[in-house]
Amino acid sequence: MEEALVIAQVRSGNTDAFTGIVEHYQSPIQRYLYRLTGDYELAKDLTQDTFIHAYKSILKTDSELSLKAWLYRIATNNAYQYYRRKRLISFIPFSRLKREIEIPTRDNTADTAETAAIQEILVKIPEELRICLVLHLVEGFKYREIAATIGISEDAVRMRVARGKEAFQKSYQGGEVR
Amino acid sequence: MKCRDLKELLSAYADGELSRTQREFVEEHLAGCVDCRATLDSYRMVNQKITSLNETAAFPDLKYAIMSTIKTENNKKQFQKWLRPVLATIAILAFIAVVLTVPVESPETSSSVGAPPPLTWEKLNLVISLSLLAAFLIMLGRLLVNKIFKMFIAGIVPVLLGLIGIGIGIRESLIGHPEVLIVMGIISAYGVILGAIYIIRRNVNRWLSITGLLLCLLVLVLEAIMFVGYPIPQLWLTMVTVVTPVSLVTYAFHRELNQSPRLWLRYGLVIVVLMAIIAGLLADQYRGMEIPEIISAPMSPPPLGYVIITDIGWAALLAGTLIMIGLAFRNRFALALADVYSMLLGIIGWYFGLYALTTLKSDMFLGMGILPIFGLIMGIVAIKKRADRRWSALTGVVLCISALVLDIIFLFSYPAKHIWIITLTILIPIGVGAYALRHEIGLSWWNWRRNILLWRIALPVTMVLTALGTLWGTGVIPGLISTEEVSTRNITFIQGTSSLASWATNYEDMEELCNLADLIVVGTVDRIIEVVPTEWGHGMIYDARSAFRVETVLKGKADREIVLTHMALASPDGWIEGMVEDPPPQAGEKWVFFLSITESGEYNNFGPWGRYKITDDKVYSMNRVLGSNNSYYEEKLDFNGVNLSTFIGIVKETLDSIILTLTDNFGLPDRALRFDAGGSQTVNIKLSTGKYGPDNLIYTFKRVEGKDTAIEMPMPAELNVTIEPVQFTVYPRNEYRSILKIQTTADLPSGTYWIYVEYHLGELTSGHRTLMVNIN
Repeated sequence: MEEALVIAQVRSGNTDAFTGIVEHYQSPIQRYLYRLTGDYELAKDLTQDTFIHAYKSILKTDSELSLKAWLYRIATNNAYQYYRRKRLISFIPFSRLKREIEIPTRDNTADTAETAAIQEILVKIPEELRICLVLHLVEGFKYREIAATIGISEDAVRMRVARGKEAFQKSYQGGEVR
Repeated sequence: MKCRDLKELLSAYADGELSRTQREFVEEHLAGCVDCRATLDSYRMVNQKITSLNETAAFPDLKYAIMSTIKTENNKKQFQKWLRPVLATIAILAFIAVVLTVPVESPETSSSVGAPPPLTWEKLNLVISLSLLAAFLIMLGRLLVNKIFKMFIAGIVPVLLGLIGIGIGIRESLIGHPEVLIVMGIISAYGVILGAIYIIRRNVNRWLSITGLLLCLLVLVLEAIMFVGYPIPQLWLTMVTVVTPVSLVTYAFHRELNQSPRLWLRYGLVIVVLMAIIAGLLADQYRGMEIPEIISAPMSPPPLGYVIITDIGWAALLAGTLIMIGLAFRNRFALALADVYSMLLGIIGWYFGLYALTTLKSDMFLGMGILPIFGLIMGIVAIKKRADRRWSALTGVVLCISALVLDIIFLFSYPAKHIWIITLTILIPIGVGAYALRHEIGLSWWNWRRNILLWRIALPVTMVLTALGTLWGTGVIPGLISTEEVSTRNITFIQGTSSLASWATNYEDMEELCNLADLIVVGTVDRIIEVVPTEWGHGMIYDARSAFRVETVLKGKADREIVLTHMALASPDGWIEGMVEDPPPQAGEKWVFFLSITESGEYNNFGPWGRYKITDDKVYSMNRVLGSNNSYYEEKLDFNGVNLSTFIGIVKETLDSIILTLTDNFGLPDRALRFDAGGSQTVNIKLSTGKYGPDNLIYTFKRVEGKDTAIEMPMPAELNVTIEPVQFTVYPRNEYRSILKIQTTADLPSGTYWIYVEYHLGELTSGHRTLMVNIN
């Protein structure tokens, strides 16, 4: 897919050209968001939001990022937004909203027991670390690419990945011992 | 290096993310360290576990869901596309309507009691400044959105704006100056927008914003009620009070909140209806109250010409409107327009600058400030959004930046650094600029260094210009605007033969002087700022402007430094014809000034009678200073070496007492009328209450034998005198105006009639002035 060409087409008003982008990237983005949040349904919703947001901003801004990095950035921000909102709402007692946004019962039947266990540990790791772990280990991003995608330095990425692994290992061993 | 410090490197080693030297270093260490080998293994285990998450079952195809949402939103955008130009058109029409229909105020209409005066430029200015300020606040709010602390502020702002609106509304409805309703309208509209934005965007602390929103809506309702009661319905009034706020709110709902106007209507209407009932009840209370017009002393206005500021305000609004249109039609045409526009504004900025330099009329620098900033934004947007022909936009950017540099230099050389000047020239442009760049092209401050093309060229040019400007401004490079240069332009006066100038009005006593002055100050002339020539008739008028350091304010409000304007006439050969009684004050001199504040915001002295020179703390009237014939001087105003403290005591005592003066429409004393039988004329009665009141005031009048007598004569039937209003309640430290009207029939015999006008305050206090009516 010639990305620049597709983007130019979308900008010139050819909405259908964007379908190509969705087709190409929807699975990786869904996987990324699923592994990041551990919630299949939520990942689906966030993926939709990501592409809609991407469509809107493709018309408005020139990004220096590659299309891929840029989509992952939007996806990451969406996930961040979700967590932020969840945290904010948890401050308001008896909120009707709270119940709505509460994570629904897990429907992870697609995963094996082993995978589900790993996923469960992963979602307990702090978001900043988790994002780097998932981007690097699941999505196969280089440190340099992660740095560009989420807008931090490469050194920071290296640190976050290391700390993330540390955190993961601690929980994992704890689980085994018990 | 300890093993603990190596963890990051080990992790990166496991990920294959190390450089060769780092890798060799780690391997060397691993060879000799069992602990680290274990750590590495554990990392590899984690890597393998998490990487296994790569395998997932197939995900559902979201293509159709996503594309159908996008297409629905696109359709909504079609509507928006249609809406934006419509709003823009309304804005332009409102603008044109205002410009075409704002009446140029004539003193005649402004002083008639009952019907409030038409909107003055002065008030319009206030409105513009306030709305610019409000816009700035909104931009600030938008820039800082997401920060809870700042959102809290944004929650308070609508409440404040609402309260201010109500305050202004109640005060003005009591006093009877409904033109200030416009201020209420615009302030409240911004309050509604802010309130709504934060209610919808936030999850916490909504009560504050809701309170603000309700307050602002209440003000709008109050305003609408008063608007209906306004005696002179005019197109511009409708535009400014109704169309502008409504379009602002609609636009904000649409653009900022992506809410359909219907939502706003649905909830808004319910609230408005409720508020209307309350306001209607409130309005009933005031109905039927007869209140005389109060002419409070105007607040100390800024020293610059209001008219010029207004022009600039309009220019800025026009520029803003054009930008809005450009963005509304965001396409190639608009972009092509943008860089031409940017260049144009840069050139206009330079023109203002050069004009200011050659005429030394430094008011113009404001024009340099606001226009180039809009040009700058347009230019940068054009550069960022296009790939070709950047040079023209770049030229525009450089032009605009250099005009801004000039502007800042001027700003610092100007004597009175008022907060509003700083707001207009610095805060608002920066706010507008930051907002536009951030939200229109996503250019944020922290990634500006990435915009190489822009900054590699624009930055050095700016720096060179700034350096040059600083050198000029500080006088290292002589000539441009150094203060020495300006002060050598002092006027050379020819000692003329004129004695008392016929153009100047004589004042009878200290009471008249105190009552008619807007501002009475004691202070020192700091320096002559500039001499502004204006063509006038066959000659020239030179407005000598000097910076006056205020030490004591005896009446009115003044900043610490004000700019005095002193007018002198010149003959065509360029020499200034001296008014020997009234030479411009020179630097270093200490004076007591009785000043009037003109419609255009200038401080003028009252002529030779309204200025007293202080030498060694002794006060001298001008006839004593110049040693000229003092027979022209009113004895009561002749001071020759009175102690300053005594003089100030006299002024204060006069200000404390109740004062009656008869004035014409220019605020000058008017004690004699001359007209043909059958005609009619009016005189203003101005009454300052001093420390008296609250009490009931009644005016009476009778015909008397002569000026200094109270012996009554019969009033001829052909002479009809009325005073309106003739009876009302007065409060201390206020000024009240009534109109005395003299109507005659053609049968009235010619001759002189003396009318004795008397006021009675309560049982005991009374006073009078006598008016001479000459019938031809």
